[in-house]
Amino acid sequence: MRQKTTYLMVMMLGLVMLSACTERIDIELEEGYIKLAVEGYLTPDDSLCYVRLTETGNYFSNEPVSVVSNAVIKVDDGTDTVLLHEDFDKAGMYLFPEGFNGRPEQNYTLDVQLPEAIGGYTEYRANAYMPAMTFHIDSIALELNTSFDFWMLTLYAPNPPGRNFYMLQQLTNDSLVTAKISEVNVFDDEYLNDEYFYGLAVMGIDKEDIQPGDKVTLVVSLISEDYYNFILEAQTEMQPHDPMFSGPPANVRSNVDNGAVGYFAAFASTSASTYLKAK
Amino acid sequence: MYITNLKKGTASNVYGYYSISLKPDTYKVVYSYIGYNDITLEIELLSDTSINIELMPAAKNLDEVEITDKAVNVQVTSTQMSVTKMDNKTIKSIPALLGEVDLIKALQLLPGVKFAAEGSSGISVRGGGPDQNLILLDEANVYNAGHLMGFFSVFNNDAVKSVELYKGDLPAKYGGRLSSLVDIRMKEGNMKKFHGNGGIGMISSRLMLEGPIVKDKASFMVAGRRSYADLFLRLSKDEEIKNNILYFYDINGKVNYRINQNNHLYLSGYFGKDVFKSDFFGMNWGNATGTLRWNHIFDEKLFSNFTVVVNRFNYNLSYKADSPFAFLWQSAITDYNAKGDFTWFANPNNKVTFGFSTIYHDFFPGTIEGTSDDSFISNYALASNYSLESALYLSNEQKIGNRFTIKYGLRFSIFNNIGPATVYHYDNDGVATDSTVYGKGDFYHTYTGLEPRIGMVFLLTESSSLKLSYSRNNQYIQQAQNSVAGSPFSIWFPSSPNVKPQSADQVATGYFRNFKKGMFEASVEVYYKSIKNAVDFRDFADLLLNKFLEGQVLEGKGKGYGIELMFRKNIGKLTGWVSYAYSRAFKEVAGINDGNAYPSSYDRPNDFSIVANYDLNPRISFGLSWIYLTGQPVTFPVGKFEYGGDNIPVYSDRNSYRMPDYHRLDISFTWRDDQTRKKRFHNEFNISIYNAYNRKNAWMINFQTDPVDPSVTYAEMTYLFGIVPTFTWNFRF
Repeated sequence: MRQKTTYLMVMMLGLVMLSACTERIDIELEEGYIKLAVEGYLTPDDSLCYVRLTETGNYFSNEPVSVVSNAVIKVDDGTDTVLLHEDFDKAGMYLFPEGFNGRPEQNYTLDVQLPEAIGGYTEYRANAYMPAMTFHIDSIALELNTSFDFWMLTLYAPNPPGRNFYMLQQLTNDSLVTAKISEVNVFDDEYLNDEYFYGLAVMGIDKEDIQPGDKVTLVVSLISEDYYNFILEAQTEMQPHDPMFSGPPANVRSNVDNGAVGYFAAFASTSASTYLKAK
Repeated sequence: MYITNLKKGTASNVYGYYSISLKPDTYKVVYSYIGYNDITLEIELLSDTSINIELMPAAKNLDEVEITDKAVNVQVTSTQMSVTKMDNKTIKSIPALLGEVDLIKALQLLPGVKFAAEGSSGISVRGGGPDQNLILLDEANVYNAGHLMGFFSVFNNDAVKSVELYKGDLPAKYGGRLSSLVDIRMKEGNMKKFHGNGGIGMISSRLMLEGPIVKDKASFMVAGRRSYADLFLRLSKDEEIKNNILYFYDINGKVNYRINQNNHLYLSGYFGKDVFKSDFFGMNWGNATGTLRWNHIFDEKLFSNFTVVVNRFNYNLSYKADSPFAFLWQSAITDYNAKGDFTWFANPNNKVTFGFSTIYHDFFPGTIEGTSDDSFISNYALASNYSLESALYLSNEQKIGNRFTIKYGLRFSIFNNIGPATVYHYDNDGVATDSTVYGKGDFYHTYTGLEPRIGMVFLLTESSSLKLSYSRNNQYIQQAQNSVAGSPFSIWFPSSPNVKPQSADQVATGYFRNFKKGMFEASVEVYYKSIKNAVDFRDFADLLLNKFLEGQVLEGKGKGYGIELMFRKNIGKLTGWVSYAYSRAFKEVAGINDGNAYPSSYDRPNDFSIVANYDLNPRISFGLSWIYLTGQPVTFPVGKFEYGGDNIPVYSDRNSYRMPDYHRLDISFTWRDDQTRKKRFHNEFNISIYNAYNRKNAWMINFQTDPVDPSVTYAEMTYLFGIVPTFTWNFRF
C-alpha cells in the first residue's frame, strides 16, 4: 500500500512539476553534534555477521565518514557473551569469532564501549530479536509484464502463520544487485490473507538488466517489525521531499541507545533461484 | 444608514436588513454603501415604519472629495474585531496570476493572512493551518477551495458580491474552526435589468448573466467558467503530452424570490470540477454546494433566517484500465446542514442574536479497488464515519452611553460520533491493540464545549476607537495533512474517543482610526492565541488510506501572537493599502522534536504587503501589489551517516531552518472604453505581469547527489513561477 501511494504521489507531483524549474543554491548548514553510527548484522550465515562503527559526518562533505577504532564490542545471547575483534584490514569493522552465528527466536544484546566519548557517551547498547524462520520458498519465476515491459520476479511459497515482515534482495549470477539499503524491497503480509503466495510479484527487474541464461536469485529475510520500519524510514528520507505530499523530514529510528544512529539487526534468510530462459 | 442630526446609525446585515429604534421626530437619514451612490432622505417618524432603499452603483469617484455627510465608520464603531471586508471591485483591482482574478489570493495580501505555499489556495491565518479556516459560500462549507492543485481558487469573482474575513474573533453564530471565517456571498441577481459580463483570458473564459425573472419580484444570477490549458497541450509534438486532458470548470447560480415584504427566498448553488486525464492516469475532484434560505421578518424588530445546506467534496483517481495495476480510488465528504438565525432589536441599546445549527457529516475516507480482470490490487476500503456537529448560540450587543458598546455571547457546541463504526484502541506508539464495534445509529461518543465570545469598543472620538475581544473556538473536524501546501487528496477526520477536539482561546486588542472622514483607515491590532489539543502527526505518519489513521495523530499545545498594522486609502484616484504584521506560531507535542516546542509550519514572522490601484482617468488604471514574507520554516539535514551502502541524513530540530524569504511584485494595466457612453456593450483590456522582477521564490529545496561526482551533495531549489505576463479581455452588457 505504501509503495502504491508513493508511486501515485510521484505521478501527481510530476503534474505540478510541468511548470516548475530548478536551480542550485548555496545553503549554510550548521554542523550538528557528532553521533555514533552503528551498522550491525547478525544472521545464521557467519559471512554476514559484523558490526561497523563510524561517526556521523558533515552533510555536504564529500570526505568519507570517520571510522571508530579500538572499541570493545560484545554480543550476549542470554547464555554466552562473545567478544568481536576489529578487522585488521578494515578499521571500524568488527567481526564475530569464527564459527559464531545467529539463531532464530533468540534475543541478542550488543554492548559497545568506546575508547573516547562520542555524542557524550562511551557506552552504547542495542537489543535485537531474530524472528523464527518459518518461511521457505517453493520456487520463483520471471514473468514479463507487457504493460510496462519489465520482468516481474514472482514468488511461490506458503504464507507463514501470523503477521510477518520481509526483506527482499536480488542477485544476478550470484552477484548482489540490491546492495544498498535504498534498493532492497520490504513488505508486510498483514493484508495478504491467502494461505499460499501463488505467483506473488515481489520485485521488478528492468529488461536490460538480465539476459537469457542469467541466474536470478531471490533472498527473502524475515525481519523484525522495528527493522522493517527502520528500512522504510531510511528509504523515505533518501527521497526528495515536496510541499504537496511529503510530511516534514524526521530522523530515522534506531535501536541503539544514547542517541546513536543506525541499527543492529538480526534476521534469518532463505533463497531460491531461477534462470531467464532463452527465447 | 446614518442619522445626521443624532450622529448615530446602524449597519444592515448581509441580507440588507436593518432596524433602528428612535423617538418620534423628523430625521435626516443617509444610506450609503461603498461603490454605490448615497441616498439622503428626510423622514418624519411618527410610528413603526418600514423603509426599503435601492442603491445604485456609483461611477468611479476619482476626485479627492471630502465626505461631508459621515457614513457609518463600521471599522471604528463595530464591536467585531479582526475583520476585513472586500467587495468584488476591490478584488478585481488587484493584479492576478495568469489574469485570473482570485479572492483567496486577494485575502492573502491582508495582514495576518498568508498563503500556505506558493501557488496554493490554502491560507494560513495568524499562524494556523489551512484546515482551520471555515470557508463558506452562501453558508455552504467549501472543503477544498482550489482549482489546478490549488493554483487558483474555486471562487469566480464575477459571481461574488463580497467576502468578509474574520481572524479568530468569530461571531457566536459561527464556529467549528480555530483560525478564521471566510464568509463569501454570491451576487443575488439584478431585479430590474438584465446584465452580463465576462472575459477571455489565457487560462480560462467566463460569463456571468443576471437579471429579473419577474421584475422587482424575482431575479437570477448564473456564472460559469472553464479553463482550456489542455488546448495548448495539443500543440505539443510529444504524443504522450498531446493527448492529455487538463481543465477545470465551475458554475455558480442563484435565484432570489421576494415573496412579499416579509418573506424572501434564495436558492443558490455551486458546482465545479478539475479533470486531468492521460493515457494511463486520470484524476478529478470537485465541490458541489446547494443552499436554500428563507428570510422572514416577524416584525420591525425581529428578523429570522432559516437555511438548509448540502455540500460535498469528492475526488477520484484512476490508473491504466488494461493493466494489472489498474485501480480506482474514491473519497468524499458530504455535509447536511440546517440552521436558524434570529436577530431581535430589543431596544435602541440592545441587539440580540440567537439561533441554532446542526450539521450531519458523512465522511467517506476512501476505497481503492482493482479494475482489471487480472488485477494485482486488493480491494481496500476505509469505513465511512458519521457525526453530528450542533450548536446553540446567544449573543447581545449592548450600547452603554454614547461611547461604549459591548458584545457578549455564548456558543454551546455539541459533537456526536454516530455508528456504525469500529473504534480502535491504541498504545503509546500508535499501534492498534483492540477495537470496539458500534451499531448503526449508536451515538457512541459526545463532546461538548462552551465557547464564550466577548468584544467591546470604546469610542475615543467620532473616528477613533479602542477595542478588546476574547473568543474561544472549538474545532471538531480536521484534515489529515502534514504537508505544507496540501493536496486535494487529504482526507478530513472527526474528533472521536481517540482524538480530542482542538480548542483556541484568543485575546486581541487594537486601536482603530479613520482620517479625513473615512478616506483613510488605520489600525493596529495585537493578539495572543493559545491552543489546546493542537493536532500534529507522528514522524513518518502514513495518512493515506490508513484505517489506523487515529494512531498517527498526536495532540499537544500551540500558541501564537502578533501585531498587525494596516493603513488604507479607500477613495480617490489612488486607493489601496499598506500592511505589516509581525507574528509567531509554535507547537509543543510529545513525540515530536523530543517534546520541545517548535515553530509551526506556518510561522512566518514578517509579512509586508503593498496594494495600490491608480486611476489615471476613467479609462485607464494601473495596479500594483508587492508582498514580502519571511521564508517558511523547514527541517534541514545537519549531518549524515553511512548504512547499507547509502548516506542517510541526520536532521536538525523540527523547523529550525528557513527557506529564503519570499517577495514578489505584480503589476497590471487596464484600459476601458468610455463607460459613460450609453451603449449596450462595454469592454476593457487588462495586461498583468505576475512576478514582474522575476524573483525565483523557492517552493521546495532538496539535496541532490552530483551526477558528475557522486561524492558531492548540493542543495537544489525548485521554483514555480518566473515572470508571467498575461492578457485578458473583459466585457459587460
